[in-house]
Amino acid sequence: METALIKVKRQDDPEDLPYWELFEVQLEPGMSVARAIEVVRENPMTADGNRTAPVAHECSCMEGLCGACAMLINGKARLACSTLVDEFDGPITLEPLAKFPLVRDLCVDRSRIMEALARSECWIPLDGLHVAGCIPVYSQREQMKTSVFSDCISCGCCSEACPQVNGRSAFAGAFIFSHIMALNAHPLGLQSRDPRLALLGGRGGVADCAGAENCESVCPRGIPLAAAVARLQWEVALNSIRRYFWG
Amino acid sequence: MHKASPKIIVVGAGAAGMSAALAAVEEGASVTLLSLAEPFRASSARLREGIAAALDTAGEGDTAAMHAAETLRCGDYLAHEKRVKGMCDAAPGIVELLARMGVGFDRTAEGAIRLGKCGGATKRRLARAGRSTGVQVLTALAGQILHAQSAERVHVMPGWEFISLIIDDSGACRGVVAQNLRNMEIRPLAADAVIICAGGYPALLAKHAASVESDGAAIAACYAQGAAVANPEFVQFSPYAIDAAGKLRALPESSLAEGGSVWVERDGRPWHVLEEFFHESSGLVPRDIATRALWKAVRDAALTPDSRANAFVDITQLDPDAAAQLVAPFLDACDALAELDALREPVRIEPAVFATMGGLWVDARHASNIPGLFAAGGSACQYHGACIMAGNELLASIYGGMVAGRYAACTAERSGRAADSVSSDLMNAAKGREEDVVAHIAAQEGSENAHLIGRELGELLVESVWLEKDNAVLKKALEKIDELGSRFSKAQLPDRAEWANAELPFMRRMRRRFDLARLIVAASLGRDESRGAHFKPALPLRDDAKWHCITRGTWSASGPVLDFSERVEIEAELQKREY
Repeated sequence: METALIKVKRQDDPEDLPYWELFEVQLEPGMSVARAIEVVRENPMTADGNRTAPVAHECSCMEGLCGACAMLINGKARLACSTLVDEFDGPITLEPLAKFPLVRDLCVDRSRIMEALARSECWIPLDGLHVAGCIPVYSQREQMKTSVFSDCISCGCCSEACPQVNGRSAFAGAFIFSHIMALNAHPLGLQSRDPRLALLGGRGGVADCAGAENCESVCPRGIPLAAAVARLQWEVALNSIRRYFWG
Repeated sequence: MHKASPKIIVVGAGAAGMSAALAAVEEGASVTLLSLAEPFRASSARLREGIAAALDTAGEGDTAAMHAAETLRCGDYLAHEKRVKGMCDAAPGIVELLARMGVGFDRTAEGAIRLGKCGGATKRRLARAGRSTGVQVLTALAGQILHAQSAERVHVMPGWEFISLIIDDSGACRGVVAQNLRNMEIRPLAADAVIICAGGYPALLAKHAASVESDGAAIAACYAQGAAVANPEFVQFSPYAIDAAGKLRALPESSLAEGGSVWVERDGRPWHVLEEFFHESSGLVPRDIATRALWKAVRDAALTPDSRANAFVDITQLDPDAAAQLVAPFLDACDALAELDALREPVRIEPAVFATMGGLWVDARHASNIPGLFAAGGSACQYHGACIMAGNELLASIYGGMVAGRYAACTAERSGRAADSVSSDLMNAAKGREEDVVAHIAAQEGSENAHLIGRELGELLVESVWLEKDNAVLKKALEKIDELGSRFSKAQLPDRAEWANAELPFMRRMRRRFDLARLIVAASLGRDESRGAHFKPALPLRDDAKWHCITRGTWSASGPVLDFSERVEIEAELQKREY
């Protein structure tokens, strides 16, 4: 029976030191990395036959839509559920995302994604949940152009790949641009656009992006993040000019 | 804080839970939202298909009444008519609300919401947002939750698992006990009312296309504490799943309505089974009927008695440029299979469990039989009857969540069960009970493996409550469940860590799976007819005289107690479900 070797970077808790463990997994047809981790979890035995604790990891939908299983697979930020084991020849290295505080093994604390969305006011202020009686008209062309920016699953892969996301910067990652692009293009979101752009012009905003464009190449949803950054940098600049002349 | 604003705990931050929280906040409540992970990771993300509403932007004369009639018929008349009508009447308003929240629904040339065709509906009724409506709906709702949190009306607690209810001497629900999945702290939380929106139980079965967490643990916990479960025997399967990267994945059915076809390979040629059996109504066939027809064909077309033929969904005849938008969710679901180009070659499909129709028993206002306990979304049994119509899942979650949230907040004041009047003795006793459970799990000894037992239980359920049910098989399954249960008591906790131990919650959820599995099988055995997804070849007909009733199961130490006395209230004529 064919097997795959999986090398996992483990760490019992945030204060502890990391260590590596090697696992040998029997291949199943079309096996994903997430499934391989599950197999290890069911029978946590290292390749040299030692019992160990099950590998802690996150996963939910297993369809690439919830973003829970983002991790470093052979050094690249990817979703474990949508990465096939037989894509790789040698052993597969799994590490937790390094830009987020570690919880345990492959689990990290991604609450700063939610905090960044809250800081940038990524919502449309509503009058209430009642039926207002009219659906905002949204041009087909604009909706089709913007649709892809609504697809962000907040997995954190873009943050991981970004050299600007680090302990010294307030920048959380390019996902924020995707959310804001979608909101700003929306007919109701347009009304709350300017305050959002003003926030984006401040600390941790568009100016923090140095244009490495790594985010776009790792985004599991294929969101054109580089285009989003360029567009928003332009809009932030326009907005500050507008504010200067019109208040 | 405002004067005596009622305190509501919502369990689960999916489409239903976030809708419930927002509705409760609008009624003046302050809400604590418990969730396993951040709001946008919920299982609702998987609902690529869209949301059904009789908006009639295509000018076909669609009405909410037609939406309701088709929903009832698809569900084989096992849902109360008034409640289904209430949901379908509210549907256009809900789509409007989502659009106002920022969901980028596909648009027509005029900029109105473009409606897609969907299985089971005679009119265009599916509002869709790009390739993943579920993701967009969750993002929009999460935005509103963050907004409410910034105004200190909602407190989100991601990384906390609901364990059990706090029930007082009068039998009312006064809060929940939850566990922090990182530092493993067990904490009792008092509330005026609790709303369970933690999803259904499809992942209890081995062949499911749901989130791995949808194992019904929250339903089972409430059930064990006295909450009634309705229609547990109704498990939704669909023929349209693909095996992608070792996980079954639901394919959006709208691709078929938009011009795709389904066929079974026979003698090297496509056999269009549904068209042959159901003629012009082939696009309307509910999921359960389509699954049984296709899987009979798969057996019939096999070359040898013990092999089976393959079934395919085929969209290769669609114009590739138009298809990119028409069947965007379908292409998205196929995306994981790097080697597969759905526009060029047919996609091999498998039957899988998509969802469950059963759930906590609730009244018209989503209140359970336990005072102070509400449920919505996949955790409640309310709108789908015996089979779910595409597009109604998201709708029912959001509508049900809003009804539950509003009603829980409005009645909290009158109930006389304010959160701050919960005695610390009651809270500590509830916490102590859960600490005992943890100690009990930690003390389990033996050589059994809980994960493998979980898988065996899932396979057992597939064998017994799958496409066809047989009373003899079901009886045997009950014995088998007891056997697996006693084997589980010899399974050791594989991880002793006191930080971020995922095995302990898993073992606790496993303990409860047996109760729920027993209930599903016992109810399947009890209902001696065929209705929707519940099909007994020995009794192939629907029996309205005897079985037009809601199954109601309650827990007892000697096994589930079933009650079939609640008649389904429907004034419309019950049509034969022939297509």
